[in-house]
Amino acid sequence: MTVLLEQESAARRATPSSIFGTSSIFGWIMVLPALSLFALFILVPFIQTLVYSLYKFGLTSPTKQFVGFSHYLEIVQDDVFWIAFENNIIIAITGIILQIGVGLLLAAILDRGIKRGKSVISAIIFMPIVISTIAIGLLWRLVFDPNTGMIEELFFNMGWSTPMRGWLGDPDIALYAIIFVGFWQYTGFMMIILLAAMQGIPRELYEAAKLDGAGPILSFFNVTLPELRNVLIVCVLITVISAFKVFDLVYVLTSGGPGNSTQVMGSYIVQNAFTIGRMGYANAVSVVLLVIALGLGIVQLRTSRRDR
Amino acid sequence: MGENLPVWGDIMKLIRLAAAASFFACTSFSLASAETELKLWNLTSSSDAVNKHWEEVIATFEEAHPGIKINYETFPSDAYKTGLQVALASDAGPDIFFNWSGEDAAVLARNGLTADLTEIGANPGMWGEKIAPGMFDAFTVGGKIHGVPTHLITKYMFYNTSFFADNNLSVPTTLGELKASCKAIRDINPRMSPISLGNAEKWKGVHYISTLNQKIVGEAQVAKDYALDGNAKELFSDPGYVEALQTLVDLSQAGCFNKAPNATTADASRSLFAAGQAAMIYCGNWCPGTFDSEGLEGGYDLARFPAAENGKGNQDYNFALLEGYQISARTKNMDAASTFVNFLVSGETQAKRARDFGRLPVNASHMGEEDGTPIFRKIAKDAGSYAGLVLILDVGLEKSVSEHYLSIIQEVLNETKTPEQAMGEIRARAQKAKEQQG
Repeated sequence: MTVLLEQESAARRATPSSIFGTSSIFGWIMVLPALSLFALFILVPFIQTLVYSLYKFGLTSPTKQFVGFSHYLEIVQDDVFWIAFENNIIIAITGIILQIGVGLLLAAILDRGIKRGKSVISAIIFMPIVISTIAIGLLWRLVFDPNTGMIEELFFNMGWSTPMRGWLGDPDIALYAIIFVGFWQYTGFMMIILLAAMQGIPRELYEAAKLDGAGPILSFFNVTLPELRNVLIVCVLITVISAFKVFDLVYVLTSGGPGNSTQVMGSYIVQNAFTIGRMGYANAVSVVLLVIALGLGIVQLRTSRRDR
Repeated sequence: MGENLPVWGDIMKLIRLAAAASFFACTSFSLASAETELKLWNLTSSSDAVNKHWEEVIATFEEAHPGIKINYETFPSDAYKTGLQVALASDAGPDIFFNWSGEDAAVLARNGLTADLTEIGANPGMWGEKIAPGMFDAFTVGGKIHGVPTHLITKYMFYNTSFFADNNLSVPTTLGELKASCKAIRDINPRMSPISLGNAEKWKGVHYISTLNQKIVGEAQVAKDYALDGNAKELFSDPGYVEALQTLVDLSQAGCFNKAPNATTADASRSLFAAGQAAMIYCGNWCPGTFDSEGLEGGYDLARFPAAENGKGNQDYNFALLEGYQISARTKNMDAASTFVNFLVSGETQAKRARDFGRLPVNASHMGEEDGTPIFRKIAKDAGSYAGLVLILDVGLEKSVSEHYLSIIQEVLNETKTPEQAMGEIRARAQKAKEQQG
């Protein structure tokens, strides 16, 4: 009976009359403002970016020259683009491990380990997320300063050596310094999301696990983690998208340097568009970035659906 | 009825008052709307002297020109170039704006965003009569003047006078002497940086290389290469370019610079010198204000950048750049805008600029011999003996090449690329840029 009802309902949903019927017209009217805004701010700029990527022009050029797909061919051979792409991938992977991993650990400690001062501790850990990224970048730039910075002084007083080229001046270290600042800023955010989800897990599950002889660690892996699966997928999605959108922190801390070692796709787009004045090329890199972000989003959504 | 008359009289009085008020309101409204408003864009300055100067200059101008109001807006230099280009292409742009001479000004002129000032400037009483004709070359594109220079910025090797005197050090005049000085300073105090260098933003290194390129390669070849002039395969092929980069590496290896120059900001490098933690700094004529405000208080002097012993360039050239103001091609108030720019180059305003914050004026008609600080007078006197101006790499060179040069200087300084590798990449970039120019 239930199966029959579901089939009938599905058939009703699929008929043309239901799509264009009175109730659907009302539905279309209701979503029209949102659709208009989506078209105005997402669809039109995207199509414009796609079209502009086929032209060669500067920021203030009065004319545009059609160059076809030559910008896309150039991207394939562009070393700096691949450095930027690789850096975005590294930021995404380390973000998942550090921000979500440590955020999860902190949330678990706050949920099940600490009894007093939970709100104060979570507020302190959460605080960096409410500060502007530019301000955070400037603050950490002072902390990392190789001559007068706090870390330099600390290491000197402890008798430890610091990198000769500086934390932000060494091409092998600078990206990880940026990742560390991102970790400092966003871990609290992940912790709050996961803590909220953990507090929604029925306590009976933990009691049942306890009756079955599970200790805190076994409970964490067998109760907490499975219950957090959907929230963790959201956290991974947020982290990966943020990693591909990153620009401000890189711009303030290193401007993509030394050389191009910390260049990310965001900073490379800005450099091409506004510093070098290659708007067409910058549009082409933007399209590639969008395709990558869309691809990752689709993969993640499919993975989450399959898991369900 | 008679008793009512005074009431009617009062009402009539009120009506008359209201009419008068309306008349004055309308008059004042029409006066306000008749006032011409000009939007002036400039760089943000952390110097109180600079900010006070602009307040006073604008107030003086508005007092002398009651129909013109100046809306003054400032932006940090990083955001300025980008914001300016975007704004000029829209209706939200400034009427008058600061700009560096060279490619920054030329690109706007080529794209039709700046007004041709050639004819206006030739009118009686205008800037054509106040500034030497040669100075307009820096803002001339296709034979038309697209900007009015207001001052010259220049760079010198500043040194800590008491440190040099206390340790019987002499000011280096050649690159060889500079390297020897670095060693001597490190021997005296290992924690004292001989030269403070902050290349995190990449432009400090490019100032060194611009100067070294001119001194080692020679001004004629440099001008040709920066203009991407001649055979594409021969661009930047002079071995002097490699030598210039190698000189920077040699200075670094001789312990001349502070720790990690690529991780040190330009501001931090000035503070190091001002705090007495560095003996020298290659800095602009805008730097003394920072040195004084951060504690050095006149305890410094300056010298020209050391000469390259076997360099092919004229060693009497000096790093210098004209800066000035352009007028938007979209301005609806060309007369008012040109009046204001003309005011900026008047003898009085120019003398005030020099006295207030030490910029070298393009019109020194109202400058006395005793005007300005001793450092300013020294620079002003020395500027008269420049054999020519060093072409600044990121001002004169095509942007895709200069951006790569900026990055590669960091890599050379870090010794992650050799000067030969670096120039190989620059040559390739220059050839590609030339091909794209057609």
